Amino acid sequence: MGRGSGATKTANPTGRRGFFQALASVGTGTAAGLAGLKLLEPGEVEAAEIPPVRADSGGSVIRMQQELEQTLANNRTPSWLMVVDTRKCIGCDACSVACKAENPTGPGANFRRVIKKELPIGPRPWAIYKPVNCLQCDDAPCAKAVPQGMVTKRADGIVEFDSTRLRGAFAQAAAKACPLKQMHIDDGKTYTQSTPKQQDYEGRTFVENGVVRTRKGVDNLLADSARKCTFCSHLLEVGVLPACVTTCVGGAMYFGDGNNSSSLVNEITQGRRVFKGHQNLGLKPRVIYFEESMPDAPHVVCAACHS
Amino acid sequence: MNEELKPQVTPSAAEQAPSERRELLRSAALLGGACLASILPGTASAQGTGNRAVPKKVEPSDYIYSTCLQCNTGCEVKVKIQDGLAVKIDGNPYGPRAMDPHIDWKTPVTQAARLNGVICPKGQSGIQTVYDPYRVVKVLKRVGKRGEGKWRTIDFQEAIGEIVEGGALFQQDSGATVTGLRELHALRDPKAFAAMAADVANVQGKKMTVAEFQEKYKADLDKLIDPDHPDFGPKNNQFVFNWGRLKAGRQDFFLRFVKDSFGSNNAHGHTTVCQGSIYFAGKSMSDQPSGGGFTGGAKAYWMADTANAEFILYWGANVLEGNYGPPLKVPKITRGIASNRLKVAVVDPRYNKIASKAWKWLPIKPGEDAALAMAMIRWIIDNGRYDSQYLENCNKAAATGDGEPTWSNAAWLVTIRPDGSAGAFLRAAQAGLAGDADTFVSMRGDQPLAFKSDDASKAVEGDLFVDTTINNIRVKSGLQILYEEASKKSLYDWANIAGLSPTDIEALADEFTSHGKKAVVEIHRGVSQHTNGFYNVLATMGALNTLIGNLDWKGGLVYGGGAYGETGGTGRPYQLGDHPAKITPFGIDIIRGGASYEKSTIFSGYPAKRPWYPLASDVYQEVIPSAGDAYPYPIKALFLYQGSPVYALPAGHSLIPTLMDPKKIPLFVCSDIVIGETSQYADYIFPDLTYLERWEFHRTHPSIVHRVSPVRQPAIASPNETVRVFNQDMPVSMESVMLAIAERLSLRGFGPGGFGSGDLSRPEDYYIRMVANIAHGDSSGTSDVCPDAADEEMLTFRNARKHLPASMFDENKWAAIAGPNWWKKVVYVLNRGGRWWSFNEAWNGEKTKAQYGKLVNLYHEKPATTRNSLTGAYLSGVPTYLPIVDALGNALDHKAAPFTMITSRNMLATKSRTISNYWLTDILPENVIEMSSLDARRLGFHDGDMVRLSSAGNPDAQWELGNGQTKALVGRLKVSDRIRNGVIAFDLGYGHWAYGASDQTIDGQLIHGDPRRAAGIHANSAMVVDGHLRSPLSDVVGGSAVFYDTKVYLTVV
Repeated sequence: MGRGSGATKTANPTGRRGFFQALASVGTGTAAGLAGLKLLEPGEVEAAEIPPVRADSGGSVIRMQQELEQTLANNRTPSWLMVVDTRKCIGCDACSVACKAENPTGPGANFRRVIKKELPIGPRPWAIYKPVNCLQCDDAPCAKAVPQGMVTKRADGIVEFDSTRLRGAFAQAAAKACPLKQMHIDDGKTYTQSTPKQQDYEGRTFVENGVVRTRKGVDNLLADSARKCTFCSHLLEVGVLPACVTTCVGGAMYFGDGNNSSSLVNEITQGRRVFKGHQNLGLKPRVIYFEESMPDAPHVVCAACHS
Repeated sequence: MNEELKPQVTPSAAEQAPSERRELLRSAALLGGACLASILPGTASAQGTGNRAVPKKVEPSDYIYSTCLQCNTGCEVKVKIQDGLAVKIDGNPYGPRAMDPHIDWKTPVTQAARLNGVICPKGQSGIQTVYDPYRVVKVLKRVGKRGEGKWRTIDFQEAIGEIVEGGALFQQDSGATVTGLRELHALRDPKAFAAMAADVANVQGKKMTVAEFQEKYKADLDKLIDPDHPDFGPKNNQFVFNWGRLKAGRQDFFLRFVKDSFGSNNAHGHTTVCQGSIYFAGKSMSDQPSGGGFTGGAKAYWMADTANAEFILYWGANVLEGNYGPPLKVPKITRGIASNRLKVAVVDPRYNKIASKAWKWLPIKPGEDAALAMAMIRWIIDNGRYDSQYLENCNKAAATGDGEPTWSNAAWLVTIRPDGSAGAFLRAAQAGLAGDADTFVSMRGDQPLAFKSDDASKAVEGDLFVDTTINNIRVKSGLQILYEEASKKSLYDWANIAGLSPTDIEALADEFTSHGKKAVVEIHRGVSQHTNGFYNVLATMGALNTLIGNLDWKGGLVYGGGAYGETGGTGRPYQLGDHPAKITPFGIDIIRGGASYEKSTIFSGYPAKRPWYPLASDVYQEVIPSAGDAYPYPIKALFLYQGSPVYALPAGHSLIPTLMDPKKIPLFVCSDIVIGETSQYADYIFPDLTYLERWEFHRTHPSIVHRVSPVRQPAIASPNETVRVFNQDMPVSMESVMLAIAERLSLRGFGPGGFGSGDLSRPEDYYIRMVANIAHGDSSGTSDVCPDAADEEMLTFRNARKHLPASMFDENKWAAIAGPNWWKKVVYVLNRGGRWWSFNEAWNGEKTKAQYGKLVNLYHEKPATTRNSLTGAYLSGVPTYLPIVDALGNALDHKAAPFTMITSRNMLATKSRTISNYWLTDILPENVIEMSSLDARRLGFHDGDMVRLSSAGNPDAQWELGNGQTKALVGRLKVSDRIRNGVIAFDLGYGHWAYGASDQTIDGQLIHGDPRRAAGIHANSAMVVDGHLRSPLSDVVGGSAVFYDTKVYLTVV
């Protein structure tokens, strides 16, 4: 292992291990799961280094960041999975707004929403919160509804649109095929176009599905094009986790490489009951929901809505 | 189009030579992943072509680390800059609020750039607070009547000149003359202030007559507001500065102007609209014996150590949506519950979101919180479930002997008045024991024992239940008095008052006392914003927590880790309080905060014309109504900074007639970023900087166990016009207004030599020095001084600010202010957005590192010896149950209105200032009026009905906005099982009629409002206007503005 390398000692005072050494100082006994995490060099074996996640330790975002960087550094094809611990979702919509900001959408559009169900079951009311976005189905109905090549299943599992072609009637057809209605046909509008001054931030350029896009002026070609959650593939490419994952206030979001047997997403789903409703629809989803309830809220389970 | 985002052709990973790729990766690992972009196999192979746009690589200099202000939690954020614009806000992973646990502060910024922390939806949406099409960017002066919506832009210095010199400023006001600030800056000599202040104290203490005072100061009598009432102070006090949201740094700057340089005693915050009675109950709990009385308590309170508690009772505290605050607390709550470490219960009339994760939800009747507390106190004492070892400790030595950081006065003896009420503590001399006025007495067996509270060597304990006579003086122990108070009713009767099941209450008390010191009652506004708020707080946060002795313990009740002293102090490089001619203002302030009615020269029996607040300050709802009543004296000028009392206060409409009347407020100046619900009545609006354009030091809150000093610093260019003051260019802001007034009036303490030996000519002269003090760290020694930023970090710092204009960022100027020894350390702090303890540093074994470590009052002598200025009766010294009453102590007359109305906090709104955030309103376009399904069925109402909301005080169901304008109180009904029968709720933050919701005319041009901002209902104008005060209903002890004690009618439209 190259941990002792002094290559960067001149670049920063704490040396190249600084970031994850720093993490080692984080955490009490319960947060010990963070200790020893470090940035790997390419080719390094990652498996044994990552201790098991502890349910009450926090630090999952840091571990997922570490795993993402490993995946990129190891130059292996990942199999991206998103796992939602619905027990921890608080229905705050931080993910929805983070998505709007990260993947500029117009009024009324959102690639990520939080379903809020209120259930009058038992002696007192219950509430359940469930975030939803494109499931990145391995057998995607949208892909079958349009000519080949417009919707691509990437090797890493992300369902990607050819944004320049999946427009108009094709976009409508793809959107109609999605049983969860997770596709959005952009109308090219902005939030501030009817106000005294359209704001510049709404016209910022962004990369989506390998294409540069903007909501500004003559370069605004968004109208009529199909869009949806990309797992923030433009961020993954540069070593950043999806916006909805890091901003999650409840700590309900997990993201990582299913091909990595020791990844957090694999570890936390071990032995857990997961929601089968999407499979039952004939989808092969890459977004997995826990079916468990909080210890003192036994009625708050998937079956409350999906009976 | 952004050059860097233009489609680039890059070779796919497969096309690169292996060695080249390896080299690339190595540098990626070193430089923070700069080159990771093109190596993701999935990306490259899926497309099957190298011709795709590659996202810009992440550079540390893409971000400026700062501090959110979308609510008052103040989370640490990183602001992503693209083409000079803020485009994305993420949580700052260095920050204790925004990452759980946060990464070490000394992590190089190059390595942290790709890591994002947690931030709530409002924090994400701050971009739209900043880039708001309705922002005011030039100085506005009204050309119509106040509130008429007609303005002209005016040159900054011309406006400053008018305000300072006064005169007939408004032609439309029939030539009325305005008194300028020059005339109000009447008394100027700091020595004269000091001398007069001392003699005013003598007059109030009856050691000097008013006539003697007048004779002594006959040369200066014209500088007083009223020579017959010298305790009003000088005319300087007729300049009133009032603020809404204001944090340290900026607050220190502003108070320097208002108090130290201008000499006004009238600088008042907004605390009571939020949770005043919590703060002032906390002050009473932390008062310490001194000079025969109790004093020195901090305006602060306590919350749970969320990361380690085993049981938290969230009481009137919507902890998943507000309550300081979601990113900090929620991850620790959700992982705690999911892992079985933490159990929570919720007391709230409304099923707020935490109830969905809770063990129990107790839908209490609004305002009956103390009844539940009394029931629990009675059960806990009857069942012996209190921590007797803790409570028996009478002083520091006894506490230390038990390993307890704090002690209470549960065993101290209190004198009982002939009418049976409890008064002052027994002093040693009264018991025939030796000691001074701060020596108290406990009883051990038959033996009275004398002690001093802070005696660290002689431990004294006492019996907890004492009712006896010493030297013919009837005395009881503090806990005895509390027990008698709780025993006034049976648990069943208390439960009945609270509207809860006795079984639930027993289970709750049992659970609360089953976790040792790792259980906490955590409260917030639901407890405090009632007429009985002060005593609700003493009974809940105070008595219940004290009974289990959880203070300063890991997993218990914590005081917070505080902040690094940015204003200076021993060892720190800059003393921001340095002032060549500092004034200490004197006189009764306009809200009568901390003042004694009985000692004043206008005492005339009970009731007083308006309440006096000897135990509170920053009473927001008193500022404008007191000006309206000219009580205790008329004001001449009101400056309002980032506040909207008309919108934010309950019954805020009752302020409008005063604001519109130039006779009552002759000059009304606002600093605002938009034309808001209150600034629309201003004479002048000076544009302010938004939170992403300015400096501020958000400091901390009791919920944060770490020592934290987040820095708010300019992240983007301001759209505001640039002004020139003291030969410096800067965007117009509240600071620039104060600097310009100071320059025009030649006020000492600003401009060249403002610090004596240093200049204070622009904001950075102040704030960069504060950052240097934070870089110094702990005040003692130099061991805590932060490192210099490495060359690479200096480059990151510089590159991150390329988009800022010279009027906002000038590296040479900043470096010169910091000085050569400190500049690179300042950069080190700014590159991380502040400074704080590492995660583990917050605890020492089983205790928190930051300790309150003092006496906590269970019995409160100061209130017990203070009279209510309206009824003349003594206040209670013991936490007690009080019914809901008006200022004079009478029951409220709701004229049979059926529903108690409460307000609620939605994560998607912050009171008056997020309606511009279209990302938020896109998700929740309007708020609703929530009603129980039982009530709806009974009345034949349906989900989605539009209903009209009226009350005894507002039968017309509308806002009276003046100038013939109104806004109807109509909202959409939501029928649910998530609220107690007989209670309705609406979320604060919607139903605007200004802040971009209304049409305004500027320079003759009509600017249309945005109807999206008017959606929903803001029902504060249905809330009770107190009959005696003719202003919002108040807790006249703790100062809280009352939100939850109004009953209303609903009718389907």
